[in-house]
Amino acid sequence: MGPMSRRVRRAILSQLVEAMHGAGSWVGETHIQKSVYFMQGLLGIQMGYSFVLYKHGPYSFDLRNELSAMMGSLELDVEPRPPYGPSFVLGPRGGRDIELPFQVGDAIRFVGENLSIRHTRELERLSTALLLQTANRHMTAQEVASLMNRIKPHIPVPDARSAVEQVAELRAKMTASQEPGMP
Amino acid sequence: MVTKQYHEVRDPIHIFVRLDSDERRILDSPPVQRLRHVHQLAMSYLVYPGATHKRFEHALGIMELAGRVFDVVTSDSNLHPSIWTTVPEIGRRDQRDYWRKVLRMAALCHDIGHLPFSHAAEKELLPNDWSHERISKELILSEDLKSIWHGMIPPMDPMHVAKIAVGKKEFGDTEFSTWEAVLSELITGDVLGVDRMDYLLRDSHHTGVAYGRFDHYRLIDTMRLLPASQQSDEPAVGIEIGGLHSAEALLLARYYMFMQVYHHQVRMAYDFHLQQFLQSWLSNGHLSTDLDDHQQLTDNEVLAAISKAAKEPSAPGNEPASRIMNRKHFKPVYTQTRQDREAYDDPLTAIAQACVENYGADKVHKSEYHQNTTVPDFPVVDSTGRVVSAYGISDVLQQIPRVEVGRVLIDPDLADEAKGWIEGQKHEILSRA
Repeated sequence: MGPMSRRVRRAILSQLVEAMHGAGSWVGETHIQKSVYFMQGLLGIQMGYSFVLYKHGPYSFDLRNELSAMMGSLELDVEPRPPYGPSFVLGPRGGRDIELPFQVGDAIRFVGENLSIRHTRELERLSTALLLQTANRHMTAQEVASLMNRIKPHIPVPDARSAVEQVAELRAKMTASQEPGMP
Repeated sequence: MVTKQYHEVRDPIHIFVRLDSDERRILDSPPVQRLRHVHQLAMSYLVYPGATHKRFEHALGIMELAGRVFDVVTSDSNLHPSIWTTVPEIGRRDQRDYWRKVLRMAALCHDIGHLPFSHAAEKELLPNDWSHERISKELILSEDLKSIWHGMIPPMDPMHVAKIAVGKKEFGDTEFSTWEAVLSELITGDVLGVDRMDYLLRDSHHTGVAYGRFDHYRLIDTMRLLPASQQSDEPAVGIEIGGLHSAEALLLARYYMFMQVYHHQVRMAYDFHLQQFLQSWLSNGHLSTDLDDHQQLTDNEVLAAISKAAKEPSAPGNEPASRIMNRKHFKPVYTQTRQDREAYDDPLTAIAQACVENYGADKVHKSEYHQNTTVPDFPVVDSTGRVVSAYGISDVLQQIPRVEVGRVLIDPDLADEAKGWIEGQKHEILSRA
């Protein structure tokens, strides 16, 4: 894992869960996984989780272990949201305020407002597009879309292409929202 | 004379395990035969005398169940319409026999990397980035087994076996097809994996702890490949709704077996003393990750060394060896409760640290286990064909507690005094922390 302390990482995750609820997301584990991936991969917040292409796109076993540990220490809990499944909420010992750098707060807000409310299907496509684009910078958008369909046959090429284009739009939106000097 | 093409092995759980000649060759290979000498439950036989079963028969059991599950989930009448598109391999009937065999081989080899006394030895004793899963992967891909894989007709790709046997986590950026990911989940899945099914049934049988039983026949019969959720087309392992109660029973069995057997307080004490002994006895205090060294070390060598060290006061590891041989294991003096966890920040560490300060570090051990999965969930197809979340519709799954175990263990000669001391000082210790 990277240099960010466990305390700070967990504070970010707790505040992210709160922000996602505030934005109207039902905060399943997939939502958290993809939101953290975007925070690292798109917004440059280096939380130190390593991601591989697995369940619903980029997936971090480290992050899963961290979420599990936070459930064990009662910082996080889950509530059922029929028929969707478990929704993460703050636990009895969660939500303790730690002041985070403003860049992190901005990143949490951006992810909450632009990504967390989307359906799992959309998050999978967007995050997979971002991962494959990042790993294959020499490829055109169409090539990335074809690659996405080959690896994930349940994502048709036109949907993959649309995801690649949406990621480009998100990058542009993120750049436009940043103040000078931010990472 | 006709050469026997199929072989049978009697098994107390599955009655018969049948295997073909290729599977027999892998079964007879040194890495799999070694599992005859690795206890499935480490030193739990010191708590439950019947728990002397080995990883070998568990490997056969996983293989048997893997084959049964494959036949159910790939049966045309059980396939969800979306699976034909999302898992193109399903439509290639000529390849189904190959993948069925790969799955069974992966199941048979899933645990060949286990160290002496299974999980008890792994913690603290392997270098960083090594695990028994990684050793299993290396063994499957080794030259010794490659000659068997390549000698099969048709030849079997050892990478297929390795990926399915140990799962994505050990393969980093290596691409996993959707099909490979699904097949791996059939073995290693947190909820519906056959590894868990077999060990719960087998461990329940041998320990005599009845709570590990569940209706695996019904569960397997209802297993399906389904879209992961209403919001995702990615395939996942699920069930049709008629199997929900048996899935709930499996998860309850897991909870009870974890609490009663796998994290029994005396078992955890013996795990600790075993670790202490191995750290003293092994050169450099670590287990070797060299495959040849790994193959030479089983429970037999470790037990012989423990027996010898216990009789020689000057031998490395004499103290933990004596504790194991003479039942002088550490005893629990504090067990962390949910109430303590809600009221205080890390009460277990606070109590353990206070005991260390009062009695000495060599007399105290903090024993803890945290469940490393988040929420038990899987897709369920109901009678209308709608796919829903099991957790979302099951009152039982929503209520099953997490397995979070924390104890402070102490030298038995100090246990009675320490219990009284902690009782009197607990509030002050926890408030100060």
